[in-house]
Amino acid sequence: MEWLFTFCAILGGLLILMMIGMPIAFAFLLVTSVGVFLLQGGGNAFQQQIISMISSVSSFALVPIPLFILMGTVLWHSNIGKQAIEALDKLLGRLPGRLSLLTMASGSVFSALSGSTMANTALLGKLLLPQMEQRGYSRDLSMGPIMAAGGLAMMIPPSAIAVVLASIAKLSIAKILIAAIIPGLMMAAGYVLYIVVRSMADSKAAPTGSETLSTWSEALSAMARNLLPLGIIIFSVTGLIILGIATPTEAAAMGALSSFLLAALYRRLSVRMMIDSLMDTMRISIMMFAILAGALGFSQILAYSGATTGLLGAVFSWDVQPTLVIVSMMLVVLVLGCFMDQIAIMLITFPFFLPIINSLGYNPIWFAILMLINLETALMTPPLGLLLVIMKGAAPADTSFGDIYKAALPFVVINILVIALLIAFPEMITIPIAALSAR
Amino acid sequence: MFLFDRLLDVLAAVAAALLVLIMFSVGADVILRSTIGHSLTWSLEFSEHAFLGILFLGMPWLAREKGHVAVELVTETLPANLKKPLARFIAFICACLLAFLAWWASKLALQDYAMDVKTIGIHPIPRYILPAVVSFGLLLTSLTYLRETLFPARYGPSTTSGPVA
Repeated sequence: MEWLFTFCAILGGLLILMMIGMPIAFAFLLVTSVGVFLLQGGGNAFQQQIISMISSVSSFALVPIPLFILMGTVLWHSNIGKQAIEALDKLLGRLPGRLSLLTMASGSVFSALSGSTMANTALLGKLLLPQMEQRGYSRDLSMGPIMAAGGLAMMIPPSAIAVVLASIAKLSIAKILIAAIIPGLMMAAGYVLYIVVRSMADSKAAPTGSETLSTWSEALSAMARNLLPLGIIIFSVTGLIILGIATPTEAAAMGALSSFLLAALYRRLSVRMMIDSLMDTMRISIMMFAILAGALGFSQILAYSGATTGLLGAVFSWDVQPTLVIVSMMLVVLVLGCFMDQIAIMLITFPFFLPIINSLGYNPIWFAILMLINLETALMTPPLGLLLVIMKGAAPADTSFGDIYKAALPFVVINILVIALLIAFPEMITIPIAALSAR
Repeated sequence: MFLFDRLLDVLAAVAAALLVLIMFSVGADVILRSTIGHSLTWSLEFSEHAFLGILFLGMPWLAREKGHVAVELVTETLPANLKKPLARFIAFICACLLAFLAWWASKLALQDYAMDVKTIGIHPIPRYILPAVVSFGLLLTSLTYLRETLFPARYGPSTTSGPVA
């Protein structure tokens, strides 16, 4: 059981460093460096650590991360994204829970743009909650969609987090992006259904009377001016992949270029806008890359220590159902989501989880999709999910944790239902992947 | 200090320019390949090397901007007289770790230079450039954290304001 001691030392050390506030990227590097020194004797092994850092980052597969983010920041700083949301607002008309649905749509857009569901929750909590309170919306229908929106952003392309996951797990980016679409739509349908039914069941929770309605001609004109042109970007990303003209990696570059083109067509392309978009992109991308730089070295030191093999052996020595192993993994992620962000959780768990998944004969893409949904669910699971804590900071002062739990719980349940459905019917993921592979 | 900060700004601008170049080179590759059947063979390798530049040239700037994400769930609950020394201690540990790794990266660069090692690919370049960029970036980031350790009142702790990117 020597591996267990090493396993606990590595994970324990990492958690302590994170808890005392060390930047996540450097916590990984420090643990790996100490591991290199203690397990490999230091010396030239440190050079190997540097080579691992170079290999982790010098990868063409990472191209979509900064370029998807750039695409989003250009749309944001040129106000094209805001216009699209306003057009959507007009189209929704008197739909029950309109503002909640709009919050969900805005949240998904902002979350995809910021690359962080946590930043998104903090921002929208400050921006939209007061407006919704003013219009008499109940707190569960105002805070819930804000927290849940990030989950959709992770599932629906372009999702930078999905690319990060594919990169860490060494899986096909195209397959991950395509496989996430059906579960993403299931989650979206579940959220919309909940909001509409909840609003219809309790009209006081989502009052409709005070909202100004647009005429059909206004709504259609807004759609033609502000929503349809976004088709250029959708075609540049998804269309080019489907037509086989560009790989998902290359499609990200085409998407970023077309967002600049669109900004130019709207006459919003200014030097200030370009600088702001680029620097916002750099801020998020460098943060993600810095964490990824420690990824390969960390998984190598785990493998070298024997912890990965030891854990694998232990799992197989227990006589349990494979499904129970999957459920246990999901529970581990739920616990980690109380104090860590998604990338850190992936970096810690994947070196252990993936060999187990492969050995059990499961499809790793299917598992990766379960992980994607669970990563987001973990962040909003009571009592201590990080999004709940951030929402507490962003919400009005008289909001209690009880209010926040009540708001998050229905969305957590929907996510868990989607995970359960995907475990019961893995074909929902494996069939689209097989279709992609057959092309 | 003024010159040091300007250097960090210039390096961040170079990193941003590299990203723009990646976007144009990959985009041009797709357009040329699908229209005239000509591929930019250097685009892939350029992008891979440029990513290294983006991270390590931008890393010290991001450290100064307090953009490296950290979990502050526990530290936020600490009293101020504990929080500040802890933040200084963390900044000091980061400075030492990054200086240590910068030293090993520079050793690797010198070794590659002496042995005239080239990268593997269609368009090989001298491999020492890669660890040299790593070393340069890590060293400047280390200095940024060292500055925060020595002058906490002016440059503050080097973590984000929360578990937010």
